[in-house]
Amino acid sequence: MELPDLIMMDILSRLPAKSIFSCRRVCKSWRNILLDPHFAKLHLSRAPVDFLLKSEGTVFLAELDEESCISNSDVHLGRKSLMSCKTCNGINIGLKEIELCSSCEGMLCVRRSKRWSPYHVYNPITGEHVVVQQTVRASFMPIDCALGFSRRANEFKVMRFLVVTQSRTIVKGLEVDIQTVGSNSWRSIGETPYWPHLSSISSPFLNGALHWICYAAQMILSFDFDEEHFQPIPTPSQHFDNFYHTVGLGSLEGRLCMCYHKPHSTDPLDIWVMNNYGVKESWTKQFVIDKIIDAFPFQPIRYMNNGEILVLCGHHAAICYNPLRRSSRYIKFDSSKSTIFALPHIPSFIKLQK
Amino acid sequence: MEKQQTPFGFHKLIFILLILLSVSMSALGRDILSDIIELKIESHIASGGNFDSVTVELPNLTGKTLAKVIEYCKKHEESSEKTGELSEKWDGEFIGGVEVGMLMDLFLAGYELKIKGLNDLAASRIGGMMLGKTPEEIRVIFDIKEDPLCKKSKSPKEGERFARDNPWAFQ
Repeated sequence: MELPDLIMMDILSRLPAKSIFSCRRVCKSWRNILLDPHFAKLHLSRAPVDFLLKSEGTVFLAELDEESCISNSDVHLGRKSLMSCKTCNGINIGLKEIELCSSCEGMLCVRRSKRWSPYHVYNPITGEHVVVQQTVRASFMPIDCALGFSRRANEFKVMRFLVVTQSRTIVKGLEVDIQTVGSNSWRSIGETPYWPHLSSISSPFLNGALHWICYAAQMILSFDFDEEHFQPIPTPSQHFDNFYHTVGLGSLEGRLCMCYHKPHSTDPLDIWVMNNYGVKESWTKQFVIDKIIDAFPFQPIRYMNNGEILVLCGHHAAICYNPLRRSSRYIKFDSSKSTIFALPHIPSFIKLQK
Repeated sequence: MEKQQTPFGFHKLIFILLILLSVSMSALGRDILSDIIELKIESHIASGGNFDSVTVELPNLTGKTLAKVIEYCKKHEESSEKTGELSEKWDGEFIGGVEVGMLMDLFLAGYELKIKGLNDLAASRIGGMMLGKTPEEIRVIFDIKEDPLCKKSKSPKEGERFARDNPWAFQ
């Protein structure tokens, strides 16, 4: 049975990463198709957001396949459904002291949890990685970093957040530097207009920008990686504050989502969706989920094939919520010994170095 | 002289149009199939062609595949007219028992006639057949002749030489 390569590419680009590795060994013509850069692009444009799991010195990709969609009960992601990620030569990301900082468009930003240790931009599927060296800025201290992608320039960029502290109090900040991956030079973006809640590992990347929540300013701060500037995004009119609520950001089909929830209460979890990007009036409370787990933050990840929505709860569990039946089920990350750290990640075959 | 490179002549076009009519000029049929045909006729006439000799390039479908495509279009027209409800269950049964060759044909038909739903359905079914399979199993399912170079060599030396000459097979 012979099909034109382009047609075969179309079919294969819909497969999960694990199957793609098997298909590479089927025959030479399939292999050529699968190693084509166009294939990597097509695959990335279709690949659903999955989870990366860090556990016991290893990093796994957990792909939620059709089976987990059909089932109505809890799903245990055991060893069988996990794929070990490629190790990279520069850094062993399974190690305890390695911090997973941020994931964007198939790439991961990791570092050793020392202040000025370099960042590594790394593709866990191919094992390719690029080192982003830090240059020390006197009296400053880096407190977080994030990875973003500029579609216009087709470049990945790492940003770092810096503060100046004196006797454990922050006296200056928050300043931001940015580096285009591969350029080896930091540029200053200046101070952020608002102070975001810094946990860039939970910042959704959509519309070319990363998003953080700002409790004090009651808004969302976005950073556009094409234009390299910050912009405020309005939040729903529902008030939230740091003491009574926890707020999580996520995205569903390219739309920004915001989850409200009161910890240690039986109140349901509200998921708001911004239907027109940047328009305050377009926020609608789309889902109300009876709470089945206390966690922070709740991050809507994607729609499943069966219409359920996938929500990451903290970094240790996830739920699938069925809006029609108003029922939820667990996605359990199987770990007998140690704790698992999960983050949303799109598997990608894109090459970092051109 | 008849053009040989196009699979459908004018009489075949009439045949297709008749089938379309039997699908009650369905919204889906009209939007997709006949739009393509109309466009092709228009561009043919616009380029100074003679209507008597118009040929329409349609994918090389067998009657069996065409029947299946029309069955799909008909069902989806009905369900979208009624409630617009998802016919996932029907889709599953429709594609479930189809053998690989026909799946490929359906995928091609969906691709060339721009029936996205059918295209996606066939692709996900074909993809589903590869999930969790070893390369050997995939070769059997898709009747792919093992690359002669791929066969296990008898002596280890040959194997080494093969590995050296064909690093792609071992990465």
